[in-house]
Amino acid sequence: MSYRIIITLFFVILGGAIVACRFLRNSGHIMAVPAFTSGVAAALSVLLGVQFLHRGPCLIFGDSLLLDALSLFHIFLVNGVFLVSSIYATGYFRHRISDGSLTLSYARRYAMLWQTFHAILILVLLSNNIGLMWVSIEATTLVSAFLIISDSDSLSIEAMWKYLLICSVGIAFAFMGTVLTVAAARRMEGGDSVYLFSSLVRHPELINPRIMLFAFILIVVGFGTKAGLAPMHTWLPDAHSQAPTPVSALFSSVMLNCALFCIMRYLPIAEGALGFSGEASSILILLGVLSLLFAAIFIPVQSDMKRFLAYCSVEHIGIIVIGLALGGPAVFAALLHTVNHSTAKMISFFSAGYIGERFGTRDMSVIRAAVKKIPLWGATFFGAVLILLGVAPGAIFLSELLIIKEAFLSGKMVIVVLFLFFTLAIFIGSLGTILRSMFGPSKNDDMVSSEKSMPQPRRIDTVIAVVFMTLLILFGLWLPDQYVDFLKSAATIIEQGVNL
Amino acid sequence: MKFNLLAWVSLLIVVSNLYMLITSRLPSMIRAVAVQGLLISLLPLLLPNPAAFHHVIILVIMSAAIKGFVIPRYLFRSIRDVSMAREVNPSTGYTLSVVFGIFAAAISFYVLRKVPFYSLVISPFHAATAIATASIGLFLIITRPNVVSQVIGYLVFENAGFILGISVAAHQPFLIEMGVLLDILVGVFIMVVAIRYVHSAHASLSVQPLERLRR
Repeated sequence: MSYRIIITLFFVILGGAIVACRFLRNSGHIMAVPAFTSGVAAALSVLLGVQFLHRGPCLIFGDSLLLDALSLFHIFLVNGVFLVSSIYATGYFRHRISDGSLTLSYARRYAMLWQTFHAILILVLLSNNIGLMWVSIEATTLVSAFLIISDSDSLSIEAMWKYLLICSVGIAFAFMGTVLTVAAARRMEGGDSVYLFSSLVRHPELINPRIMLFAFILIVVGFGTKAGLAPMHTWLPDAHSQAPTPVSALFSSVMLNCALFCIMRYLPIAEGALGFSGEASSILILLGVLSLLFAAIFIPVQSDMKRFLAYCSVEHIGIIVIGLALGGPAVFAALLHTVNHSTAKMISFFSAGYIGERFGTRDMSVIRAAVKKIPLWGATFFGAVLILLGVAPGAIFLSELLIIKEAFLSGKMVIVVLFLFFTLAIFIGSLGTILRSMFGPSKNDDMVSSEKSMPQPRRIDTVIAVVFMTLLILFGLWLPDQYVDFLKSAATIIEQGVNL
Repeated sequence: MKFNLLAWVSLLIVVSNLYMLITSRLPSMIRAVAVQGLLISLLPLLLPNPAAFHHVIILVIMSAAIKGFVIPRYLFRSIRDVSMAREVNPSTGYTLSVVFGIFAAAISFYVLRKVPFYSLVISPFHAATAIATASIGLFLIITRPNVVSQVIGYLVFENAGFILGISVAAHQPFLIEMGVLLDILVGVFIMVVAIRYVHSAHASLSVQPLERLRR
């Protein structure tokens, strides 16, 4: 049954790409295709969840694909973010559609790449074969590179080139790690089983620990480049800031998580081969702390709203990685942080997109009184950024608290101190700029005219902003039991691997 | 006999790397990467492996066609279409580049003895070539301020992964290598399209105009 749902899922998403490119001639209709297909995909992933509840984890298409709590968790996240972002995109592009500046060829290219990107991300999440995972994560880079280009302007082309080259080289490192994983497992018998996560994780005693550690370092460097871990993050601020806002939201809220997902699959294999000595985790802790350091240096000096949010991604990916490395309840907290970060980042990118459009700039040193001038998006941006900075009672405060509590209980005081120092530095360093741009007195009257020419936000945008902001605060105060159980079962897979 | 031939092919791969470091012209670099691709394609034939002979032949033909002909032709077309200056103008001098190349080739033998997968290596000469090729590929990407030569650097780096794959994981069928070949092919196609975008925006293939996004 699961394989039928998955075939239908791919059929709907890729079918949407074909319909948008071959059969539609109106840019507005083409832009609506991703919203429709993402809605169907989200419904299908719920069906997949129901199926999972009855059957538990299973292999699909022989043993090439694997559906377990960890992959299902990420599929929910991907489909949810794609659905909301594609609904937002229909509003984001509507001015350009109505004034005719959005060409038919751009709309078609955008829809085709968007749909293909969606399908390949799901393939990454379902991959049980390490070769298939590597090929599909490389394919996400190739497909998404051209989503960054908006109007063929030189800055977006520069960002696209950096993204394409840096991520491709990074993923070439991951290829070497993949090859060495196969080499490390050479004592395993059974043909293709050395390529399968489900087999590798069951026989850690047959994997050469030293080679696996070396392979894991290459895997972390490779997929970590794509996930935006410092110091390999250099493509991220450029790509996030230059891409159209719905694409920035996708990059930040799902693509980075999918790259981290690959590391999550390798972590129990490496830890198992190394006898749970913590050597593999210490690599993650190092990169996690480095990411916090880079974020603490660069976030306070950012004036561009989207670059600010991009560096926030570096910070939060670092926090998630620290949670994964700490093990125990911190892995659950890391997954919770993944959802919280994705939701807060998606909403803040949406707000930044509209604020930038209203003011004609994304420079926070120029923008003033945004909350007064654009109440919905100004307040949403301010609220979402406060939550991203870890203010209580936001959902991110809770997940950060759980991670730091685990570090404290396990006696890793250096991590606790560095974590608190860097997050506090980010909070103090950036709050002033945010407050001035949101509440500061208006100093440029020219902007008022451009503001008046903008239409009111759509009702659906208001619903998106209100619902997600409510959830971000609510999940900081209370978590439903079923949600916690589901995240805990996904966390168990990161620690021990899937048990089929 | 086989291992002697393997050593010669590995040596030629290193020579092709050094040639890429000293040449000042893009067409010469593309020719060198094509020759390197053809040499690497021969490696599965020269290494002892348990894979079925027809698998080996398919891999050899596929990689020779893709690395030796299709990708170089496509790169040639890309520089012909944009009809730009074909000089590389590296940010480090040619002498320094060659010194780096020779140093990388020499030290790779020492590094090889230290890496954990040394025990699995079928031929030390061959595996050391992979390490030297990887470092020279990265060096090309970093020091050549030209988008086409950066793509060539990426190809050289991928070649190193390919050599490593058939060296340490030769006990397995070449499933990963097949997938990688197709991925590299598509990757280079996409990069060449990107090169056209870069050229149309800046009327140049240099990466110097691509340094406006900073901090």
